[in-house]
Amino acid sequence: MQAHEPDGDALLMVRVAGGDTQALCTLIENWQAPLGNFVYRYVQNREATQELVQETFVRLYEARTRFDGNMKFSSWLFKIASNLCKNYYRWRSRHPESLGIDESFSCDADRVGGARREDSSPAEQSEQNDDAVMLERAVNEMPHQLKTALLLYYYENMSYKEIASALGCSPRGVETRLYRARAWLSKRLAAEANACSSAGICLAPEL
Amino acid sequence: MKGSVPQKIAMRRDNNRKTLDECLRGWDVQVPQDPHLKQRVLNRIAALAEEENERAPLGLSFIGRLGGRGFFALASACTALVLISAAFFVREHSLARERSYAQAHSYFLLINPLAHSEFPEGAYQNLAPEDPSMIDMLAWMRSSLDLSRDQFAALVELHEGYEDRFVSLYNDLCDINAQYQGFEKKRMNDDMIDFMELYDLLRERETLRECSAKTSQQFVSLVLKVLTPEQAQDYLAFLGRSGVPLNIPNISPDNAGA
Repeated sequence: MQAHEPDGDALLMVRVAGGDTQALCTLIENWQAPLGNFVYRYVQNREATQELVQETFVRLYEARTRFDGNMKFSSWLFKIASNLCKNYYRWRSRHPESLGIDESFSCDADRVGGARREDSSPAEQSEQNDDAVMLERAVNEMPHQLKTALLLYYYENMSYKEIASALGCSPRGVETRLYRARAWLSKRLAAEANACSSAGICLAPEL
Repeated sequence: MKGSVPQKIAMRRDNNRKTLDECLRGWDVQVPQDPHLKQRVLNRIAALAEEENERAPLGLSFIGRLGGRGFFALASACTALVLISAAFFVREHSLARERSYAQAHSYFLLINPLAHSEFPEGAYQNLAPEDPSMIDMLAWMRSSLDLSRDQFAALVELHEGYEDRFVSLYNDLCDINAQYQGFEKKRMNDDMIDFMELYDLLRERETLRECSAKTSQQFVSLVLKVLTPEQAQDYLAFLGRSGVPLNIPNISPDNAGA
């Protein structure tokens, strides 16, 4: 969720373009959390998330003079981040030996914190964990364009237009990608639910 | 609501169903804040700036600011393209020049039986590997000299008219040369010299040589009459590139051009 003024970020970026590192520090403070969450959902690896978030801000600084004032800052930032995530995935597919321990889909304490409710029963918590693991696994296997559109729409509250800027496509294209992402996810989760009788997710995709 | 039949069935059989949207919105991730992120980013930026300064010590760093990596990538691509084009052009130019010399030489030998007979076989093999016909030569001349339709027709007629004569002269000259060589070989092994035979042989050879030179000269004069002065200049220059002494006296674009 973006809790700060977008115009303010653009102004900060203008100052960064002038070499003001203090403005960069402010941007890092503002965007570290949403960016970290986005990257984590994308790569689902803590160490990689840390590296990629850092690299995103370095790239942001390197490309500071090319920042387009007409583009929303968040679109630009997530465009850099999603490209880095994509490159990371490509690299990881070529180096499967580099898979970390938390990419083995074992239960991780903070993986899906929000999916559990403190007031729910142990059975419900277990079921929610199963749902979350299936969802993570499905998102992890989703193609880049669909995944980016889905994550930016559901978790960064970005408009179609902003996502379009980040993906380099039209707002109509974003709509299509979201439709395809939901369909892809529904199909994948339904297959998993059928395969595993203990699965807790039941799908009613509102497409 | 859309969805496949198995999905709907699966949905109905579970009382605790959730929509996909609910499921997605329930995926809340809280990545712990990295307290050293700012410092690490600033360190990386400082290191990059140092690297940049080391790479451009002669005051060239301003070029990098023109457009960062994109500019350099574009500049590199352009440089590579220019170098490749230049190499290609030089190679093509060199090949074209070689072809031009080879064609000039072949043509010259076709219209000059004397030169053709006096130069040993294979002496110009690297220049004239092929054995072009007169018509091939004319097609090449048409584009090289930019001949008009009428000029081309006139030259075709002229070349066809002389072709048999050139071939005949070349064969006669080869025969007389062979006879002379046979006579020389015989003379080296024999104390007796038939001077009359030698005289007749040399006279006949000289007559053929003169006839050949005269025919070639006449032919070139007629060709030059068909051409414009500029084309005549090019034609003679092209004959000069044959790598063989022209041996066709009194011919120049000034006195033979159209």
